[in-house]
Amino acid sequence: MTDQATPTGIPEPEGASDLIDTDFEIGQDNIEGKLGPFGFDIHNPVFLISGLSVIAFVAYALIAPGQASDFFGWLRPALTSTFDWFFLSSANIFVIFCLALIVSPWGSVRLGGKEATPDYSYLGWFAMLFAAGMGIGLMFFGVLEPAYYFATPWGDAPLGTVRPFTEDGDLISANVEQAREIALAATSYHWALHPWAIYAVVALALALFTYNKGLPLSIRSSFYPIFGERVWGWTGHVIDTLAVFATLFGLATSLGLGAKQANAGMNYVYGIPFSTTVQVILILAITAVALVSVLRGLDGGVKVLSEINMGVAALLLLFVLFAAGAATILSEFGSGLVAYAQQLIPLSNPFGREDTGYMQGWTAFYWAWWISWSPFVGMFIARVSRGRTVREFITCVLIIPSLVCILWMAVFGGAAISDMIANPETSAVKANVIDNYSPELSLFAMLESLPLAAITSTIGIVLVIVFFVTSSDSGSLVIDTITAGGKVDAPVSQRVFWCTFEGLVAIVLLIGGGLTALQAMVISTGLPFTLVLLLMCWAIVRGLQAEER
Amino acid sequence: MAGQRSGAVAPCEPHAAAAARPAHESGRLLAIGGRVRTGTATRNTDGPPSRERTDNHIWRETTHMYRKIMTPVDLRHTDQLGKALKTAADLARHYDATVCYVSVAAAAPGPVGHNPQEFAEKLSVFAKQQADEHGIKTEIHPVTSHDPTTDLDDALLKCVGDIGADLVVMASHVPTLTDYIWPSNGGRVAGHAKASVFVVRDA
Repeated sequence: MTDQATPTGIPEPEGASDLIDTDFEIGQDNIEGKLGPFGFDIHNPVFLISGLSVIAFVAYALIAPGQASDFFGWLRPALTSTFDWFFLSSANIFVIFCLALIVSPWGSVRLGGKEATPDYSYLGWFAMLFAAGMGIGLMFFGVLEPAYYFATPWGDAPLGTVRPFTEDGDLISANVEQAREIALAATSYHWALHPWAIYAVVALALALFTYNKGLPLSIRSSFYPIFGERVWGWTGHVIDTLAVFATLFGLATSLGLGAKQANAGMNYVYGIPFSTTVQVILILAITAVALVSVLRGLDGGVKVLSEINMGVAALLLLFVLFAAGAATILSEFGSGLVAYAQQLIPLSNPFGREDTGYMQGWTAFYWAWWISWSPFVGMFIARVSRGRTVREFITCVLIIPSLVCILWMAVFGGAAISDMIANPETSAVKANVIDNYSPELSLFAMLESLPLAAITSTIGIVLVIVFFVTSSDSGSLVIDTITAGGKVDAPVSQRVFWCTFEGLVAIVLLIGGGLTALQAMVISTGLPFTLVLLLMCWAIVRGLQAEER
Repeated sequence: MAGQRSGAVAPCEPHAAAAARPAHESGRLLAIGGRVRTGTATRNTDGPPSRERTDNHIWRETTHMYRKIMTPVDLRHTDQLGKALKTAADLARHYDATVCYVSVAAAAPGPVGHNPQEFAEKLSVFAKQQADEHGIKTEIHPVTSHDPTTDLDDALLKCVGDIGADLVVMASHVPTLTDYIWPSNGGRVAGHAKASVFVVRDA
């Protein structure tokens, strides 16, 4: 019956669009059935291989913890040091590619067909892509990174800039201004255009091939121009499995390490003991809230939570802004923006650099990290971006988040640096970042220097936890969709399974050890994915060429 | 229509309230008490009341007891819906009602369509098939949802009002223990819909 209705398999989307004519029927490889009272609709073999390989790697990390730790502990820095030029060059290509798309005539191509209307309002859309992709990092690195670059005595200062403190910890006033400017510029460099361009490339490729070309919402679809019909076979299975693997481990290891950080914060603020029990309870709590969120769905759960999250984060930002002196910080934002613009080219130069400590230890690490997260964040952004034009899409995924990140870093980092300059002897930020490296405490140390620290620290802890929830729920939806062969309406028990599985992996690794080793493994996947992203740029051009503008 | 009826039954107190109700609801009230009010119903007509005229009236009121029957369908599993589809068609014939087939899908490509247009087309083909097979009037109401897995129940409940259905006929499995924590779609629609709901068990 259905075949009679549409003999070609793929009819027109809303308005003109260029369709891919393929015999592949979405869900054709799926196995549907019932397991007790629960229905399932899973892709064969992606679901099973992904699940089993995750279990195998967890077992490896538990059985041979020393070996896993040694191997991945060596692999990750080896890759980011050896291929630093490749990571930096590729990230530059992604930024240039996205900026070029904004001004190109392809910018007016609409995702979902010429007459499609946006699925979400700007606010809901923006909140979701931000909460999924970056929120938690802003909480962790917002203070740490600017403070670190400002005063690092370990030789990894960005662009080898002057140091504001002597070895004895005395302030060198003459160096302060330059060190501060470079610290904010170097932080913004890692959080503004480049990471968002990485996400934008993946998200645009997926949105284009799903909503305009009629292919399933799965990573493999964006490879259709390269591999053709082979993407429905083992080539595609491998791509999708890798994406699930990177997403699940990325989320689970972050959840495990995040629970440790949140516990450290609670210990610092309230004196709650730092123990595995507390951390396991935290993971259980985060997973439980994420479960409620996925059960309530995209609109009733994920979007609502993301909006609440953004609202609370905005309040905290405003508080720090005014408490630390709005005029100073805003001028800092202005000068941070100027410094970012001025330093962007030297910072993103991949060749002939002398500040290798910064370039390899921070920049290449970050690029590998963003890229390893890009299948997850990109796919989630793609899912919620139907109805936007390419120009609107890139502006909202690249330019606006970049400005928000620069503002966030200027406010949080600026407040922390001001505290270090004003009180070099007593600054809690300096004590926890430079004198004694405890990165998880940097945010709370900065809040301590401002009024109402007890309240703001509590808000900080809540935000850290809720940002984990918003990553965890959107991640579970992404994994569920990929392992259901691109179907977004698989039975609800499947998303419950992935969300729970992610929490369990985090708990097992937390108790048995191996979080750091497996996180290094995930970041190592950034190298092959960089190649994948470069190919995606080409696929996007091919896809857009055929679209009606 | 409601005005005509309420005029005809004006002396009966309970039906004064019915006049303020929507057409389909007052129709239902009239039909339920139709036989009792036959004298009143024929009062305004010319000539003496006749048995034939009265029966016709009852027949007409009963016939229109339901005007629009909403039947949710999952186009992937129409083979499992046979009993519910036939029930809806039989009721539609009996009451001379229209069956509106409602289906919920995501805008993202899926087995029931690569985009909302194809999905609507497929639903339309399905409705036409049902119309031909059962000799009934059919309509379609395709709904696009961001997350059909979780939004199905709410989307269906909204559809009842949107299309003005006065009866919902839908398939559902026999309840098990799981239904206490995780109610079936049919169970939830029956529990919350303003219209009458006929849940057809698959066994």
